[in-house]
Amino acid sequence: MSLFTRLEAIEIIMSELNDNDLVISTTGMISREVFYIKERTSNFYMIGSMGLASSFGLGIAMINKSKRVIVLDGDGSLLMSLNTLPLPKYLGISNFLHICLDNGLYQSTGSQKTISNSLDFKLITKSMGYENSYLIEGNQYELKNLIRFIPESLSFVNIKVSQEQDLEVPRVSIEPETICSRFSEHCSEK
Amino acid sequence: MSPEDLVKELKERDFFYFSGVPDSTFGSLFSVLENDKDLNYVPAPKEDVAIGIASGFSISKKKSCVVMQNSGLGNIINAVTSFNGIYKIPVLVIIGWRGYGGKPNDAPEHWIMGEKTTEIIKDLCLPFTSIKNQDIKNQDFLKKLDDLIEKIYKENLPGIILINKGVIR
Repeated sequence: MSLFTRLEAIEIIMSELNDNDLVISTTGMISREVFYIKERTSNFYMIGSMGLASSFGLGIAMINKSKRVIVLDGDGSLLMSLNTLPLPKYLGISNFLHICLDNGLYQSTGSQKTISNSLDFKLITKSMGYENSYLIEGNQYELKNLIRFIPESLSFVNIKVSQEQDLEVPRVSIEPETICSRFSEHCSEK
Repeated sequence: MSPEDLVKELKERDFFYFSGVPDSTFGSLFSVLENDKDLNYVPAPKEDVAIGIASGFSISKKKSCVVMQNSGLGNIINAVTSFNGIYKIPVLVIIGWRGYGGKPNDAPEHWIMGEKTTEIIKDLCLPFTSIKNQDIKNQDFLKKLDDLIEKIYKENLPGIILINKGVIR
């Protein structure tokens, strides 16, 4: 089965979300494409700080226990923050869905190669204590079902996506401070 | 000030969520944080991860604090500039000053950073204060802390309190 594009993967993920889900997307094309596909006030588009989407999401998940926190990482940002992967298990977090959109490239900086092709993120996350780890390679139906029916748990999904870019999507046009303040309104658990 | 008193004072100021990377400057502060049942303390593998976690607490409307040493200062610069600085996410950052003043204080690995620490922090243009005097009175310590906390939440930025060895003991 041939790989689908990152934009197609994001389209499937965003269409299967619950309204309550808190989404944190990493720096670069991933945040842009999430913004383009489905703008929501409970999306946090991370513009800077590559690699911190997972630790930021973890802090959010620790407090907002009745909501599912979904972190959309890229393979580059995941590699930058491998040291964060053992923390959710240590902290006993179960409302955390960590997704990696893996195209093997730092696409936002001009498509330099990452080293993700020589690694197995599914095995890595499994060994770091993620309860469920999945690999999706080209089956859109499988991805759709997985996001829709995945049980409340500490889970990881690596989605191998193609290196093609569907279209040049615009930059996130919302001010960072606004992204922050409106997202914060969804994080109001006592 | 004792580590127990510092934690008590922070709790009185609504700080219940902590992360950090250990430092010997603060004596038993980290074990106090780990063992206090009212607190959440996340031991981070690196200082930028601690800032990420603490920022997740902050956006969830909890006051958050990172405790670390100045040798990890370089590790937080990208986080506090490209993330907290532009999104306006406040975090109280307590930093132990290893290698104060540079050579020959402390171990060799702390000499260069020990000398440059305040210059680097000042260049970040964040709320900042420091406490060098080991015999500072608790009320003077708390005045500095309160002024810093006020600035942090007025400007919605990370703010740093740099503390010498012997102040917390």
